[in-house]
Amino acid sequence: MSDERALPLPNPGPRPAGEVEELRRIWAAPKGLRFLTVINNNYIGVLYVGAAFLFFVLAGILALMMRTQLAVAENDLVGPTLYNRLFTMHGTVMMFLFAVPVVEAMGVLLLPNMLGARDLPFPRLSAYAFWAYFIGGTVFFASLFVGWAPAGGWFMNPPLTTEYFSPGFNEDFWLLGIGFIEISAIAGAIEIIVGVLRTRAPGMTLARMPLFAWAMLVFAVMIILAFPAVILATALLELERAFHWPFFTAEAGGDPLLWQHLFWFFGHPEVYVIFLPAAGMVSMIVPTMAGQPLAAQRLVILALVATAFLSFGLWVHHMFATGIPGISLAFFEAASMAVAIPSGIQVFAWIATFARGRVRLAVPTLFVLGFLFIFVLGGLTGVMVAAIPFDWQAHDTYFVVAHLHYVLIGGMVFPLFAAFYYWMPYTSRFPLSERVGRWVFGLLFAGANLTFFPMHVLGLAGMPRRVYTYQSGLGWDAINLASTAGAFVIAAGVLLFLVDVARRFRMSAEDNAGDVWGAGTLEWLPGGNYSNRSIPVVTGRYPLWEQPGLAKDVEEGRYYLPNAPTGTRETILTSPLEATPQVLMRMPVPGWAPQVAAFFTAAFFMLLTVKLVWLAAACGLVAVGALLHWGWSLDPPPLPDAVDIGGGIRLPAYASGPTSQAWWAMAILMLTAASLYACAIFSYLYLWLVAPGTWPDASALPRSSYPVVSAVLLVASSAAFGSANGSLARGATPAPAIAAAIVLALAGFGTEFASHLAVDPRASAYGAVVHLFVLLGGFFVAVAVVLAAFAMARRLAGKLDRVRRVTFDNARIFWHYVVAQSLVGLLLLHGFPRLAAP
Amino acid sequence: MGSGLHALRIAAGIVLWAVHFALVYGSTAFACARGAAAAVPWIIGSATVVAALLAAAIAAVEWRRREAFESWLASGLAAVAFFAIVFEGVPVLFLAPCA
Ligand code: HEM
Ligand SMILES: [Cu+2]
Repeated sequence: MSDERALPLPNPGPRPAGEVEELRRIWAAPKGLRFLTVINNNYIGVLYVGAAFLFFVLAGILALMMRTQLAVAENDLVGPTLYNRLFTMHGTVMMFLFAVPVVEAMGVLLLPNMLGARDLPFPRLSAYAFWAYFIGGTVFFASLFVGWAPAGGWFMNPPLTTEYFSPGFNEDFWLLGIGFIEISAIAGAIEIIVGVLRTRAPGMTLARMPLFAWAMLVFAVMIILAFPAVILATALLELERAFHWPFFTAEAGGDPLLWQHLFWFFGHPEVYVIFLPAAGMVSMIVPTMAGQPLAAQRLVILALVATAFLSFGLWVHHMFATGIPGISLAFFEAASMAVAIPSGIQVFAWIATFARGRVRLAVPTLFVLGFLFIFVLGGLTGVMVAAIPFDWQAHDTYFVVAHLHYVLIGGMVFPLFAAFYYWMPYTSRFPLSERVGRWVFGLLFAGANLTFFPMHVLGLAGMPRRVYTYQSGLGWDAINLASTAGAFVIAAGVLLFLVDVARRFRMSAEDNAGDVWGAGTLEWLPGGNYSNRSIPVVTGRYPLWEQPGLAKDVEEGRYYLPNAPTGTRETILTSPLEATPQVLMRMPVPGWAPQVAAFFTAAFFMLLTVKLVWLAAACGLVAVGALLHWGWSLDPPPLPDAVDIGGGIRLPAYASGPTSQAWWAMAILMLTAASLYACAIFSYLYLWLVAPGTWPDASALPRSSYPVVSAVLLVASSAAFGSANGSLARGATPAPAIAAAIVLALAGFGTEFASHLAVDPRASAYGAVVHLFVLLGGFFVAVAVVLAAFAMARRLAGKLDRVRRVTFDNARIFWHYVVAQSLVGLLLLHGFPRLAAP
Repeated sequence: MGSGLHALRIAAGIVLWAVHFALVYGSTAFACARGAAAAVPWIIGSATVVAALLAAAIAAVEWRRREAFESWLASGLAAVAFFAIVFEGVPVLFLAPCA
């Protein structure tokens, strides 16, 4: 491709003095107390990784307590109540507060530089996601100290977790805390999808995109599709606990298995949500350490996407022991076996890359090798438990504990340590010590195997999981002691790692240690808080290897956007497939709104947990206020002239509609909503399937005039919004038509609400699920109304016209979506029972 | 071509697989809960044949344009979907429904 390499540089000449200083000034992090308002991805990324690692250490301490208790038979260090809380908190914190956030954090830290952008497209959203998670997570963890920690296991199966069997606040902490943290994970996922698809350096087509970016894209899409299921599940269980809506109570037509379906529809993909980004990191590290492009890159991409979608068809393998029809189990068994194949493809690609190159045995390489070993073992036991007869044998024994830790520690903790060592010079002035690193690796590798290998044997010898003690003389004593010793070896390794980090990690964007490995991808370009001085054109998969002089040209400002032409933070929005420059996107600067909003949303959820309803409501209001304040500063005034970024390219500095980043965020948000709604529809049909007896016959349903009137009003409100759009395009005010749309939608919703007043949500699962739909419908209509009223206020303030119209467009597409969704709800609630009635 | 259309083409195989999966799983659960076991093999069998043929067709069409990475990926995903669909449908030949 030498012809491409010879492309003329966009800004070949020398640059005027002072440009770098200006970039530095614009992108500088705030100082003093205002540092808390920082939004640059490199700072938020490091804080985010640090917080996630803190939770790893905390959950690890809980694990040590458990292992100490189990070291000898009939130990009375930890009683049964505390032990239940310990394993619940350990599992929950590891999965929800460590594993998912830490990969999201790595994405925030690495993606912009890897893609050649100045920052992620919604920096305040990342800041919000981080603070919400950090504050919420800390409070959640602290529940342990006041005896309020949940004890229902990390998957919280009812009926154990219903109010009857678990009174008190404990399980509510799980439901509201985790439900809330999942919302922050979704916020981060939206950020990552738009970032990967719209802010890649010019020329970085999908085929040239680094594998970590591919993995993060797949990861984020999986979050969007899977996490709403657990959010809905937590909402249902909370409704049952707080208001006695019997979704899971069999006597009233509910079914505890509904929880398991919803939870595992999220929970199995969750395993790959954790594993795929780790695989993406490995796919970045292996080529560098082998000095070779990754073998079979296209196949690896295919494998990533294939694993992701197949993993959505696996959830029932966590329910093999629940009495589902055999043939249904067989689908899931088949799919569970099939999903091992794409993982195998990736493993072979890494091995082939190593085999082709001259491997450098640095610490990241060691962790990758350790990962391969442990993960392959975990995969093998996974294929074992995917065989139904074996699963019935091993279910709920230590065999499963061994399997899941092999997969999780092999599949994500080892790659993560590889990544810490590999990318430390990217974010710190000094790399970590190679010599200490070998010790860390040795301790972790030996410790992990010593802790978890014996657990396979324990499981086969019949030791159940989640027991706080056991009798001696069952042949379990020595094995348990060995396992406990292993846990302390792991702890020593983690401690050594922390000491080394404390000694050598000095955060720095400008004088970081830099490209110590001789890597090929863009994050190793020299830069500062503004990321790269100029935004390069990419002609291959490993630009630093293939485009000689790239680093120098970028640093001298010879590529695109070597300065800040609009005088504020900015980056280039490119097209999603070919990455051609489309818009110069102006970006926000630090302010208090995201942090205030995060703090008060967290407070809202936590106060709700302990039933301080009024205080919670007050906090909720403050949070909404902060969000509106934040929203007000979105959609800055358009600039009249296009901006020159070099190479004869002039980009508009304003966009609305499908080229704007806001439109993409809204589209993804609607996808999230659709996934949530689909899970609600599934719940409705599922409950009808298990207990049709609680469904009314046609005569007991609301009269059919109700849904007809409601549908007409809703469609009319959509039409009104459409005419508001027409007015705006003509330059007239859209406000009256928006007002009409609001009134019509509220009337439409009100009609639907009134039609179900005769049904008691507490009387039966039917009543509960009907009112669930009313609740959901009301929530969505309320959000749409707030967005619409917001657009009207913008008009009154002179911030909305035929050009400057992003807030209006967002309200509009969301509006039509909500109307369409409500119509589906009407069909389901009023049409389906008539159809299904005998 | 719009990027929306491209995304749809890349996702076609996945969507097909998801629809087949939901149909097969949902209808089996329904038929077994309502005592219609005899219908299960027919539903699964016909859904699997139709979905597998469609997936194969998508894979073949996209394969002809495979120099473009997006088409290569679309073809590969449809091929994976084909195997997954067949794999998940085959048990119907060996197992008694609703047992
Ligand atoms: C670092 C060393 C670790 C040790 C020593 C350890 C130890 C343990 C122990 C002793 C249990 C309880 C077994 C029982 O009583 O049933 C457990 C459960 C569990 N662990 Fe770990 N673990 C470690 C790391 C991890 C990691 C990294 C993850 C996830 C990313 C994880 C996820 C879980 C989960 C999900 C459970 C099940 C909790 C439940 O039964 O509800 N662990 N672990
Ligand atoms: Cu699973």
